[in-house]
Amino acid sequence: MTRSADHAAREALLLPLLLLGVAAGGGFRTAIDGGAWRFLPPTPMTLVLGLLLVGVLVRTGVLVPWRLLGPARTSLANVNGALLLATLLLASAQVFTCLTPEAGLLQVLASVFFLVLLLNTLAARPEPSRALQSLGVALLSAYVLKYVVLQALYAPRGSLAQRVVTTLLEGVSLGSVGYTAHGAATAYVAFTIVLVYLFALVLLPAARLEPAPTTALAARRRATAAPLVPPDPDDR
Amino acid sequence: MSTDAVDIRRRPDTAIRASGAAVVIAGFAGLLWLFVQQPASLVELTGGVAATVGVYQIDQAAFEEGRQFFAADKFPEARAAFARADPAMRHGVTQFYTAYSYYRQGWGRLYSDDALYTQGLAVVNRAIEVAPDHRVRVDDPALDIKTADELKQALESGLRREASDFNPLRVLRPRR
Repeated sequence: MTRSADHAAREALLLPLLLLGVAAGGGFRTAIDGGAWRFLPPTPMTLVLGLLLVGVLVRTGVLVPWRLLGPARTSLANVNGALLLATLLLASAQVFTCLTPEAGLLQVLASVFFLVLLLNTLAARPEPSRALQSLGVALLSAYVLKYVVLQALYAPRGSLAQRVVTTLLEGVSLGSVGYTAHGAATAYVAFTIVLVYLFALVLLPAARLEPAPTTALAARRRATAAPLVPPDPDDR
Repeated sequence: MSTDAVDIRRRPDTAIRASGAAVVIAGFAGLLWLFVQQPASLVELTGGVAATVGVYQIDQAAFEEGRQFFAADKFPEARAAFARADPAMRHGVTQFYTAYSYYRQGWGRLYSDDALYTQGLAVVNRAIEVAPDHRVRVDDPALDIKTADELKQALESGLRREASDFNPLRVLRPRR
């Protein structure tokens, strides 16, 4: 396969299919009794968070949208780029659906946490590699909080200590916590979804990934170097 | 051979891009289907996809077995056979028979069983939802109720509290 065909396959097939898988799996839930499936669509809040996340990816250089859309590309390549951006937005929203509790006070707290985190990253504008590392840590921390800590606390037939803690939590919050435990398959699917999403982000057309300058001289050299995004000959 | 075909052969990335766009649009449609249909299991997912593309088939032997149980007033057994026949719950007629079994089992001269009627109402609603044109008609001479709309009305009427419920002549009404 030529480099051009490889580039087209990644942009038109591999990345959108990975992200569509994330969008489907992000809403996947199984019931704790009986294991009935549910597929949650993105909520307005997760769509906003997803849009902010795409904004963060663009601002930090993890995604360079002009390598997906633009007058220099053919119409078909622009269609592929637009579809990839649409799947990225949907998958980003569904990652938040996956990691946010479905109802109650915890959903509000998780949404506010993600919102502040994304705004902070937008303001800090880290390098692409640092932004990906930071996002990975945030998503995996949210995963541990929801699918390990809360799941263990709210598991049915839990120990006496668990029931005491959850009763105290419900009492302190006047019953507004409202967390619902899921079947075991949900956690495994969610883990896969987070990893696939991070993998897809690495494959996105990014600005050049370079290690952070260790000296002032290196930083000055980089500042005077060539433009961040060289034109891609394959886009023609 | 057209010039377009020659061009696609010369530029393999054009073919990849075109097929990619088609696959991704189909993927979006699949995702929308998933959110709307909400399959509750792998069987429902595969059955739903098969029904959407028009290749879903029930197990006819299990369906006939269910009808025999139904005719013999063995309703739980009939429902088990219908569930085997239509595991994805995508066949309107099978769902109609299942709902009818709830109706007949729940029917009583003095009162009807609300729990069974409620389950029957959920199943008849599903039968209407999955049937082509949302209409189910079964011309079975053993059935007094021939359509899903009539069955739905009968179940809803059984669940309602009305003045006619206290009419003593009600005990003389036949089971449909």
